[in-house]
Amino acid sequence: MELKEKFVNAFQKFEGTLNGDIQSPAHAVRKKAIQEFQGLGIPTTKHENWKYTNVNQLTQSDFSVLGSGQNIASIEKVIPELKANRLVFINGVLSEKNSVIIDQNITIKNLKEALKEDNVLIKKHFAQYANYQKEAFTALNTAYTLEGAFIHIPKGVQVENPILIHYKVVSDSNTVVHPRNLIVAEENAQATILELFNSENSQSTFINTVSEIVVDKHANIDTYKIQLDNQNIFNIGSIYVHQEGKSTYSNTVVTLDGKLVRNNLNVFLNGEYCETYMNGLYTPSRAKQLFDNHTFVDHAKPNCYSNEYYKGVIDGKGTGVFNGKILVRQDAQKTNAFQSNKNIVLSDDASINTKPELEIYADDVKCSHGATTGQIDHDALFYLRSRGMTEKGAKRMLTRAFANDIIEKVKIAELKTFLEEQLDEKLAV
Amino acid sequence: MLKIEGLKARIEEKEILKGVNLEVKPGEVHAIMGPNGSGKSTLASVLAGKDTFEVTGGTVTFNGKDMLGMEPEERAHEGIFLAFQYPVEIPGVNTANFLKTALNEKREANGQDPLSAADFLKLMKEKMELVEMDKAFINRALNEGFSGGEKKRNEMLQMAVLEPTLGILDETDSGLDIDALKIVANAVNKMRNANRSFVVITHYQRLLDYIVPDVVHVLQGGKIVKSGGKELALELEEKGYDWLKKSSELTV
Ligand SMILES: Nc1ncnc2c1ncn2[C@@H]1O[C@H](COP(=O)(O)OP(=O)(O)OP(=O)(O)O)[C@@H](O)[C@H]1O
Ligand SMILES: [Mg+2]
Repeated sequence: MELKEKFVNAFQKFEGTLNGDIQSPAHAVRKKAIQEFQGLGIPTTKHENWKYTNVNQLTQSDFSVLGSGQNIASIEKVIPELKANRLVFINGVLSEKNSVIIDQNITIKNLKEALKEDNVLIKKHFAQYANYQKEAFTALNTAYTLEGAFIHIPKGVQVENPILIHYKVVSDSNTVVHPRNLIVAEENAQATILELFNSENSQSTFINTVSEIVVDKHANIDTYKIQLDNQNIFNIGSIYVHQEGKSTYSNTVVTLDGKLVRNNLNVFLNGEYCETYMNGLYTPSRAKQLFDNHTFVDHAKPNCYSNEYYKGVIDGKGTGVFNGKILVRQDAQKTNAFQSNKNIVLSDDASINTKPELEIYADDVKCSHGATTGQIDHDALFYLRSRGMTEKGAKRMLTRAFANDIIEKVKIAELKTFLEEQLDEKLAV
Repeated sequence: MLKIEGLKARIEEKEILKGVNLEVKPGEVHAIMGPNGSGKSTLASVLAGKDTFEVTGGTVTFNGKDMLGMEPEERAHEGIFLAFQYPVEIPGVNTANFLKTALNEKREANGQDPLSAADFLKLMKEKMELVEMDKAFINRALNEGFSGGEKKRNEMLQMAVLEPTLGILDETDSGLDIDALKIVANAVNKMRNANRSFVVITHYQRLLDYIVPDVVHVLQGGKIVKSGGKELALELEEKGYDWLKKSSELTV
């Protein structure tokens, strides 16, 4: 059976596991979403947004699409020195035992629980931003929505410690999980949210995430997405951000490992004087390893600022894809939008497809974009070697230097150190 | 120590070195002068192992070993150091970190234990004093945003730390103010000893007042056309290079 049919057919069985929950408004959304998914189907390279990213390997994998994950009691804590609120999902299911909430004045819980309640925030925000009508994987996630993080930061609250959402699949069978997050930051709220993936399945795994993030007026939200999955993991995820006036949102995505990784980041600027920062680093290096970042910033209102900086280190037989779209609507005068994508390609078999897309309908704007792809600077390499560094060591140092400006953007010291170590380890091979 | 015989090198189809002969003995300082574009930096680069130049003839031995077959890092481990005419800026590479790695790789290649962080810091402190460099520089990215003179001084710092047996200085004096020039000359003079030699490429006789050479050569049109004592530098300062061209053409 095709993967699409499998998902469609299993939906009824999934409903059966939800017990009384099927009366909830959220479930009506799930049902709509599975219909949409059925209509959309899994995208192929004929689809403009999937032109360079072939998901054949995914569709050909033999997944058991419903909760085949084993029960694992405990897993290793990531970045243990980081004091954080922790939500840990093992094989897609929240592990209370491994989770801990240390900040008091906010709500952090399993989305599953929030969906069961008569929750005004769910009613107001759930599935309002995620485009399940157009995007197949988002539709699929929405249909199978259950576990995930529900985070509510009330008006004026500045969350002291970061909120770390750790996803881990450890299993020896083909597994699919659909983590779904809803993050609502009210006016003047401030928080840092970190998603970390380090699955270690020996079999094919498909992690299909969707996050919706609402950043109300004057709120300031920093998110990080750190991807360290092993080489069997397909990680496809979409983040939908909705910003109101004078809010600030920043995202930094670092993809160091995985099999096929696709990150969609969609930011809708619905108020004036918003600031948006998008940073990314990706280092595909293995055969059939493809890391793809698609970003979309929708400047709907005047006087907003967006700045995007993605860097790729492409080695071995790895493939990188970057597609950054900036839309400046007619109303969005005085928009400042900048985008830069820089890549170094370290081997003959490595490849990168990079495509900036600017669509501008306002006349008084400042927009710029640039994409570069190059090799390691020959003169710099010679300089280091002439001081006695080996060719390998010098290349590693220059590659590390290239990646450094993204790592420098990380504001959590413990995370920065962790990433530096991970990156050094990655480049050492 | 260094023996160059009939060295020819080209880039793309252009022949730049057309048969250079030069012998530097332990403890000697040789100055190389010559007009712009005559091949001085090319010679220095070829000695350091830059592969954009293709060696088409001749031999180079260093302490009896064939040098042309060696990788740049192997040459560095053997004791060659080139202070670049135009040091490259390398953003993101921390100066101290880089120098520590380079030094320890050299030590390892020579069968020495790596320096500990503390010992390295001590060494750096001492060498920074020698070249009168502020310690802020070593925590910056390598040469990034350094002024011309600061870059040159950073080259001298690296030389002092790596302690080569042959230092090649390619116009280290260009762009230096008079105080900096004295500091650089002083650093070189302090490093001078019976086993360490220098090849100093310069356009100005002024430097040679401070670093007094044993031999002065004129490289012109890819060849050494004249060699002499330190008085030759004075003569060149006065007369330029044209007279040499005429006389060398006459002798051909
Ligand atoms: N990468 C290159 N590509 C093409 N030509 C080159 C390259 N490098 C050097 N050359 C040429 O080789 C010749 C010698 O250059 P070189 O830099 O060795 O001169 P130089 O004697 O050091 O001059 P200066 O006194 O100006 O520093 C010049 O004509 C230069 O243009
Ligand atoms: Mg030169």
